[in-house]
Amino acid sequence: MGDINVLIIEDERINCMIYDNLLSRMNMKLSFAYDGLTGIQEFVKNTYDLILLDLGLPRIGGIDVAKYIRTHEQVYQREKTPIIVITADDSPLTFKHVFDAGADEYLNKPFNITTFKELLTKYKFNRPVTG
Amino acid sequence: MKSVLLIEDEDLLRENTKELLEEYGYRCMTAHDGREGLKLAVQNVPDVVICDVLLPFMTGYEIKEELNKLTETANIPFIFLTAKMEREDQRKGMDLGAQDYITKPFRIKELVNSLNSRLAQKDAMKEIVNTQLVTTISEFIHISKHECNTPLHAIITLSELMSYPEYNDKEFIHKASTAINSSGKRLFKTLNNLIDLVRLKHYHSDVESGNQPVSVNGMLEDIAARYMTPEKKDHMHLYMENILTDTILKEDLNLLMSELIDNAVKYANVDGEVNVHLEVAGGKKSNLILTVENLTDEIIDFNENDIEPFSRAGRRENKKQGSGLGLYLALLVTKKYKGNLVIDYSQDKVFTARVFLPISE
Repeated sequence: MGDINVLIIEDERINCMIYDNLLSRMNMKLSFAYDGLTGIQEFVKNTYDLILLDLGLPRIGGIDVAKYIRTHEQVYQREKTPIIVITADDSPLTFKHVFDAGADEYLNKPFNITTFKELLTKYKFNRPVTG
Repeated sequence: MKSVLLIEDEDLLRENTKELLEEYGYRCMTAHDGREGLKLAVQNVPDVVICDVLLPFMTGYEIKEELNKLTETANIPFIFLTAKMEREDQRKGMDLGAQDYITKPFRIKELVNSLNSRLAQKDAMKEIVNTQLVTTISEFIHISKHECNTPLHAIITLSELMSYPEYNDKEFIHKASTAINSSGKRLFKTLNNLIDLVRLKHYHSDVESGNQPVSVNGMLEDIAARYMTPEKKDHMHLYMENILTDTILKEDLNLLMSELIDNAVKYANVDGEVNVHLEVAGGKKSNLILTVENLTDEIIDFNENDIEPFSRAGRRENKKQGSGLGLYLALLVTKKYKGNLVIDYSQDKVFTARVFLPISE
C-alpha cells in the first residue's frame, strides 16, 4: 500500500501544524492549501486519497469548495475523494449545508484526538486498492 | 397596561386626575407629597411620572434629581405639573431631564397626549437598544466561536499530544509549547477585545473633559515599543508632537492606537515599514490626527465603510491571524468621541488609517 495523499485546506497555520504532526506520524503525505481557491486548484491538478476541509476560508469558503469538488468529479468522471470537514461552527444549519455540499464527515473543533485518528484510519484503509 | 405615578399634593386634583387617567386605560398610583412620591417611584419603577413642582417635604426637582442617580429610574419619562411656567423653571426641569411641562389648570387630553408621546418615545428607544443588544450578542457569539475556538483547539490538542510517549521528542515539545504560548496570547487578546466590544457598544457614558490628562505621544511610544523587536525596530518610524488631553479616556486611547498599529504591523509587507504620525491641528477646537501607514503586498478594495467586527481587510493567502475585530474597535472608539476614521489604499500600495479626534486645547 503506497502513501496516503491528503490535501489539507485550512487557513489557520496553527491548525496546519497540528494536522502535520498528527498525520505525518500516521504515514500520510500532506499537501496544504491556505485558501479555498488554492485548494480547488490543487485538487484539479492532483489526485488525493483524502481531503480535510475547513469552512471559514479566504477567497472561496469551504462549502463552495466542497460543491466544486463534487461537481468537478462528476463532470470529469473522477473517483470520489472523501472529504472530512473540520470546523468550529456547530450549528445544525451548517451541518446540513456541509452534507448537502457533498462532504462525507463533519468534525467539530476542538476535537478528540482519538476520534480524529479513528476517522482518518477509516479512510486510510477504505481507499480503493490499485493493482 | 402602562403604569403612571402621579405626585400631587392637591387632593381633589390628584383624585380627579387619577380617575380620568384610569378611564384612559392607565394604571395610576398616587402620592400626596415628595417623600412618598420618591419612595413609590423607586419601589415600583413606573412607566412614567407626573409630578407637581411644589410639594411638601421634597420639590419635584429634588425628586427628579434623586431618580437620576439610580440606573433603574433615571430614564423614566418625567412630566412636571406647575401652576406657573417661568422660563427659568422650565429650563431647570429640562436640564434635569424632564420631558415636558404641563401648566395647571390643564385639560386631561393635553396630559394624556403628553403621556402617550413620552411612552411612544420610550418604547422606540427600548426597541433600538434591544436591536443593538441583539446585534452585539450575535457579533460576540460569531467572533467567540471562531476566534476563541481556534487557539483553544491548539492548546487542548497540543498539550494532549505532549503527554503521548510517541510525541516526546525535543523538537515537537519545543514547537508545541511555542504554539501553545502564542495561542494563549491570542486568546487573551480576543477575550479582551470582546470585553471592549461590549463596553464600547453598551456601557459608555457621555464624553466629558476633566478626566485624568493623558500624554498621547507618551502612550504611543510605549505601544510602538512593544513592536520594536531587534528585527523590527528599524522598520517603525514615529513622527510625534507632544500632546496632552483630558477628553479621551486612557483605556480608549490605548485601545485605538494599539489596534491601528497592530493592524499595520500585521499587514505590512516583507520589509515591514510602518510610519506613524501624531499631530494636532485646528487651533482652539483642535483635532488630534493619528496616521498609521504601511506598505502592503497588493492593492485591496477596502475602506472605512467595510469595517465590521469580523471582516479582515484583504483575506489574502498570507493573511495574518486575528479576529478582524481590531479595526472595528478602533472605529467604535472614534465614533464615541465624535471623530472620524478614514481608511485608504493608494496606487503605490500604501495602506493608511487616519483618525481625527476632537480634543480640548
